Amino acid sequence: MFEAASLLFIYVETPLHAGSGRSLGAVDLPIQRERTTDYPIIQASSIKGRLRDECKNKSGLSNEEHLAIFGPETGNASDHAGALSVGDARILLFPVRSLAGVFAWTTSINALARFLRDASAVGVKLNLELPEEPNPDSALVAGDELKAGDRIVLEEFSFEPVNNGTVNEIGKWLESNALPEGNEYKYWRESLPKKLCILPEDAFRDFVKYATEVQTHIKLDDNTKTVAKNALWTSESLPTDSLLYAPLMATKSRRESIGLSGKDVLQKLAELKITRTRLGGDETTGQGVVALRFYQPSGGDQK
Amino acid sequence: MSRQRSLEQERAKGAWSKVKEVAKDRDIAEEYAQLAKSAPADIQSNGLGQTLAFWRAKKGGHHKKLGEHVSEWVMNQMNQPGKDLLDWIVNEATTNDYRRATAEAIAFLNWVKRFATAELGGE
Repeated sequence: MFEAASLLFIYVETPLHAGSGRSLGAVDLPIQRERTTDYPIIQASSIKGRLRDECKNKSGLSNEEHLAIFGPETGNASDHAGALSVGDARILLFPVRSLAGVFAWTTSINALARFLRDASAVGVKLNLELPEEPNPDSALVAGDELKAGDRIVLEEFSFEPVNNGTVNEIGKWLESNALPEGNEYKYWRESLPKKLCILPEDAFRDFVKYATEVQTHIKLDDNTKTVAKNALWTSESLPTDSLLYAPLMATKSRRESIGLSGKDVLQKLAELKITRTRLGGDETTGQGVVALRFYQPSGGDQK
Repeated sequence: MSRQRSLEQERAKGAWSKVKEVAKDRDIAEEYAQLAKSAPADIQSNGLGQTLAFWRAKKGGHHKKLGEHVSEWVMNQMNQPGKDLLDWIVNEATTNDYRRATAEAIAFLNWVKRFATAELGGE
């Protein structure tokens, strides 16, 4: 069984295309989504594979330890399982264009409740009370940063701002625990409580469905320098400044030569100080840069 | 046997009849198909109101036709039959209505896009 667990926060720095293949919807190449909510996700295998790659040949992790944590190479897959288990990344904050304050980090009671549940499942206890669901045409905020006159205007939809103390508490918690720790993030950390906005859950769902980045691609015909026949398609990405989280769980090492406890595994991972990596497609055109933060529960109420 | 039909079936039926109607009008058929192909992504990128206003400004026969088709379908779904969609967005719709109308327009146009590609040429 799992001996230790933690959270990995994933902050999107350039549009992230964790694709799900072709679709028959509005966009030709859509991103991965949950079936029941239509919330964007990043599949666990994609994150685990990336971590595996990122940790290889890093000083501070021997090859044997690497195999113990991530599992053996494909040829020896049946020897033993890896000690690390990664979950799907789920959306927590979704940035939406705002008339005041440039953009708002939106979330909803539904998304926050899921976060609290997932956090509690990995032993992260947050002393946060969720506020009541806002009215269909209002949004919960802390302060005046997002107010344009007496409304909040996101994309082309307007909401009535309702000040709520809990928003500030949630913002402060995320500021200290979820956003990347580097000095270059100082501005973003300080902005978070001010730009945080809890939307009605249906409105949030619609934004994560319809307010993603849509890029149009074409292929040029060499002779005419115009679009080649049928070579026009659209591709969807998670926008810059989205915040996702994925659960990390670890068992003790199953590799005979290596004795690591679950706690050691997570400790080792965090100590490698991997602050940035790439996820999803179109890496060679600058997509999918993410900043990582390994959350370390204080007090260690591990199961 | 239940006669209940899914909303997607109804959208498909509505889209099918509109595309069949356009197929008789060879002057605009191909351009209508081209426009329908990009319409859902256009709405997702630019918003429903902006897209409708753009079509209205373009004054092409196919722009007018697609605008009418979307308007009629969405207004029926919103229980406002006979009204003009753009007019309703500008003058009456709440933020909530507008979001619902956007989702409905995209869902309907996804069907129009498929059928137009199949029936009216273009790719």
